Amino acid sequence: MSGLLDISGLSLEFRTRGGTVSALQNVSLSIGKGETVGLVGESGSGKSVLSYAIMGIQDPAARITAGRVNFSGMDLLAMPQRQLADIRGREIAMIFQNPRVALNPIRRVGDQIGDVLARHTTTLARDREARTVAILQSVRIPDPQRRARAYPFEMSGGQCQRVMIAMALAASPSLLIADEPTTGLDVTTQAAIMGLLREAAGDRQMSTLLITHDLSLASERCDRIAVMHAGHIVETAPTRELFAHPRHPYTAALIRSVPASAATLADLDAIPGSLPDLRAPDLPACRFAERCSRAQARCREQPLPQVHKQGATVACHFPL
Amino acid sequence: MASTGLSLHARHVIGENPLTAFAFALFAMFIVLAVAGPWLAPYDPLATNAGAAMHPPSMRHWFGTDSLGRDVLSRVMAAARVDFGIALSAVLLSSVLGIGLGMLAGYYGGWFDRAIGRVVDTIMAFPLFVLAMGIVAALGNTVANIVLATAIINLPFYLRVARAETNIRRDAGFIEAARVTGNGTARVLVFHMLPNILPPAMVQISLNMGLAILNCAGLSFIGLGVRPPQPEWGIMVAEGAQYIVSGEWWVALFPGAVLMLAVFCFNLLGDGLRDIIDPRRRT
Amino acid sequence: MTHLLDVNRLVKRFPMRRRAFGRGAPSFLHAVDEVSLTIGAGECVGLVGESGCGKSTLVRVLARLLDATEGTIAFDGEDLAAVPAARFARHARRRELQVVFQDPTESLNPRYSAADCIAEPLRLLAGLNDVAAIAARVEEAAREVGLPVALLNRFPHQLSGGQKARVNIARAVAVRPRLIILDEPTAALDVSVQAIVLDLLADLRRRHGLSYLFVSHDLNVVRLMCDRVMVMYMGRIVESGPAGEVFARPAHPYTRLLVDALPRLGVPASNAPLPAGEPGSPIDPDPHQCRFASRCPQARPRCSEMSPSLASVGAAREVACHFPLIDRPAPEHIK
Repeated sequence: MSGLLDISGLSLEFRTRGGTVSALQNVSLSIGKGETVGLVGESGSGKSVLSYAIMGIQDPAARITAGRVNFSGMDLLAMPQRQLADIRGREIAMIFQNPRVALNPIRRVGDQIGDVLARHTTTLARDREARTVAILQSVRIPDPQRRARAYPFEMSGGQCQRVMIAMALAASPSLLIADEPTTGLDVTTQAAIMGLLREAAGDRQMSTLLITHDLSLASERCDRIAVMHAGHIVETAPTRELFAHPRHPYTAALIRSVPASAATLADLDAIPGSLPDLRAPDLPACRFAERCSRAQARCREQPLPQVHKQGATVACHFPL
Repeated sequence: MASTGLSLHARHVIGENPLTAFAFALFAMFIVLAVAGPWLAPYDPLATNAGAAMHPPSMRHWFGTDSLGRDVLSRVMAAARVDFGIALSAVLLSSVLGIGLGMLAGYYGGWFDRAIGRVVDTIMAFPLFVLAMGIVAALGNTVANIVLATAIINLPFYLRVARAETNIRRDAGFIEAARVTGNGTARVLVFHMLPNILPPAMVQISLNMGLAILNCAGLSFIGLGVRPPQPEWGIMVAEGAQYIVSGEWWVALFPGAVLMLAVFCFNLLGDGLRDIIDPRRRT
Repeated sequence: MTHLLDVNRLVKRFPMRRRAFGRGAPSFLHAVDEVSLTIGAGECVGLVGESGCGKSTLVRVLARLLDATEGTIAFDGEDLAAVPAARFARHARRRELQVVFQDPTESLNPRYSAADCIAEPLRLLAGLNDVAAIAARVEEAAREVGLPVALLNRFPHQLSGGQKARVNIARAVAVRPRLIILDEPTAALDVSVQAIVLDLLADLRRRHGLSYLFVSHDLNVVRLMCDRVMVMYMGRIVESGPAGEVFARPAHPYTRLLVDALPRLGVPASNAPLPAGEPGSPIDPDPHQCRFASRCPQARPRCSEMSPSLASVGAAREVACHFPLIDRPAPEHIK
C-alpha cells in the first residue's frame, strides 16, 4: 500500500558503551494523504527515534541497518543531506513537546517565523512581515502584530506551542510530525491546540503523524493508530477498530491501563513487567513475551509474523 | 548521609583515569613533603656553607646549592610545608566563609544577597594579585597576612558558585520535601543544600589551592611575601632569577619546576575529586 | 462531627513589584482567594484545576511551606496557620500532615540513598534514635509500598520512575501521618506504572485510615481515586461534590468545559469550537465580577456585576455560579 509516507522494514540501532541498542526493528508504517495517524506507546518504545529517523535528524550514534523510508516517491534514507535539509521544513515539518526548547530564546518570535519563510518559501522579503502576522493570526495568537515582536520567554507555554506550530506550518508541509505536542499542557489548552492542528490539516490536505503516550488523545484525533512496543510496531488499525477489537495483547493491556477506560479503580490494570533492556543480545523474538500472559515458546523463538487484514496489521503469533 | 561504596567508587575513579591516579599520587607525595619535609631533607635547609656556594647539581647535592651554600633540594622540600600551609589555610578560610555566606545569600535573597553581591563586585573590581599585594603591603608581610590576603581574593569564587548553586536548588522538590520531613532551616541548609552544592565547589577548591600557592609564590617573588631565610618556592625563584643569566640555572629552575608541578597536581585533582564525590558518577 | 482538616476562608496574596516611582496603590496577585474546604478522617478529597488556578499555592500553604495571608487551617481543631511556616518543621503536627510531591525525581535528594530518605522523617519526626530500630522501620515501609528491600541502598538516579514514586510514598507513610497531601503523584509516571501506584495509594489509605487531599489535573484519576472533588479556578473553589457526580453532571460552566475538553477513549473529537478567551489575570481581579465571566459561554450581565459565592445545589454539592447547569437535587446516581 503506498501513500504519502511509506516506511518498510526499518531497523535502527545505537552503538553505546553499554552495548548495541536495537531501538527499532522491522518497523513498517504508511501514512496516506490527508490522513492523521497516531503512534502510541510507552516512553522508551521508540516513537521519537522513529520520527527522528524519518526526518533524518537521528542521533549520530544511530545506524539504520535495514529498511526504506519513502516519501512521495523519494527515498529519504538514500538522499544526500543537502536535499534532505530542503525537504525538512518545507515538505515534512515537526513540532515537539517542549516549545521552549524548540524556539530560539534570544530571537523574536516573528523573526523566527520569518526565517522559515525565507528558507522554505518564495515569499518576498517585503511581504514577510505581513505574512508572519497572518500566520500568527491563523494560530489564534491574540494581537499578532505586537506579539510578533515578543521573545519566547514573554509568552505562555500554550502560546509558545502555537508559535512552534505556526513555524511548522509556514511552508505548508504535506506531512506534519507532532511529537507529544500537548503533553504537559492543560486539557483545555490541549483541546485548543489539537483543534488548531485539525483545522490546519483540513485546510491544506496535510497528513499528520501524532506521536503520543496518551491513548485517549490518539483515539480522539486519529484516523488510524499504530501501537509501538520496545522498537516494534505491534498493531495498526483504524481507530474505532483498535478500541472495539484490539488484536495484540499489548494493545489490550494498554487500553485497560488507561484511567479514562476504567469505571472504578479495580478496573484499572497495570501492565506487568517493564520494557525489556534493548541492549541485551538475546532479546526474544517478540519483545512483549516476558510481559504477556499468552506467551509460549514460539513467541520467544520465531520471528513475528505481520498479519494483514483489511487495512490492519498485527504482529503476534496468537492474536486476540 | 552519603552511604557505603564511597571508597569503592573512589578506587574505581582513580583506576579508570590514569591522570587522576597520577594527580593523587603527586598529591600524596606533596602531603608527605609538607608534613615531614624538614625531617626527610638530606641537609638543614637553613644551614649555610660559604665554601659550597653555587655548586651545580651533583651526587652530593641533587639540586645543587644556592648562593649561600644551602642545599637547594632540602630547601625545596622544606618549602613545601610553607607553601602548602599558607595555601591550605587561605583556601580553607575563603571556602568556608565563601560557601557559607554564598549559600545564605542564595537561599534568602533580599538585602543580604545584594550586600554579598556588592562585596563580590568590589573585590573583583581589582586585578586580584594587585589587591593581594595591596593588602599585604598595608598590613605587613607576615604569614598571617599572606593567608588573609589570599583568602580575600579567592572569596568571590566561592561566594558566586555557592550562591548560584543554592539559588538553582532553593525551590527544588527535595528541599521542600526536606522541610516537610522535619528539617528546620538550618538543617535544610547543612544537610540537604550543602551536600549538593559542594561538588561544584570541590573543583573550585582544588583550583584555588593551585592559585593560592601561585599567589603566595608571586607575593614572595616580589618581596611582599615570606621573608628570608625561610624557604619558599617563590622566594627561591626570585633569588635564583638573577643567576640565570650567568648560567647558574639550577637555583631558580628546581623550585620553579616543583611549583609548576604542584599547581598542575591541584588542577588535575579537582576533576578527580568531583568525580568521586558526585554520586551520579557512580555506576 | 469535627473534620480532620477544616480550612476556612484561606487567602494567599503575593505583593507585586511596584512600578517605578510607586504609582498608585500596590498590586497583589490573588493566588488563593477565600478558599474553604473540609476533609474528614479517612476521606479522599480531590482538587482539580488547570495551571495558574492556584492549586500549587494552596498545596504549599496547606502543607505549611508558605504562610497564609488570611484564614485558618484547623487540623484536628488546632489552627496550623497560626504557626509560622518557617517554624512548622519542628511542630508536633508536622508528623501528622505529610506530603507526596509532584515529581518523584525532584523530590529526592540526589545524594541520599532511598534508605536515607525514608529514615530521615523517622529520626526527625517520630523521634527514633536507635539505628537498628530505624533500619527495621525503613524496611517495613519499603515492603509496605512494594519496594524491593535490596533497592534501599540505591540512589535516585539508579531507580526507575515507579521505584522513586514508591520511595516518596514510603517516606510520607513511614511516620504514620493522618493526612497526606498528594500533589500530582502520578503525573510524571508512565501509564503502565500509574495503575500500580494508584492501587498502592488506595490500599494504604484503607489500611491506615488515612485522609488524602489528592491534587491532580487528570480528571479521570481523580474520578477513580476520590470520594469528593473540588474544582478550582483562579484562586477560588467554583464547584464541589461527589467525584463521579461532578464529572457526570457538572454544575459549573468551567467544570463543563474541562469535562468536554477531556478526550474520551474510542470517541472522535467533536467539531464544536471551544470557548475562546484566555483566563483573566490573577493580579488585582475585579471583586465584583465572576472570575470565569470572560470565558463563560453562558455569561449574562449579572455575572459582571456580582461575584457568585459557593451555594448548595443539591445533595452535598456546591457551586459558585449565578446560573448553575443543574439547579435541582440530582437523582440517585447510577454507575
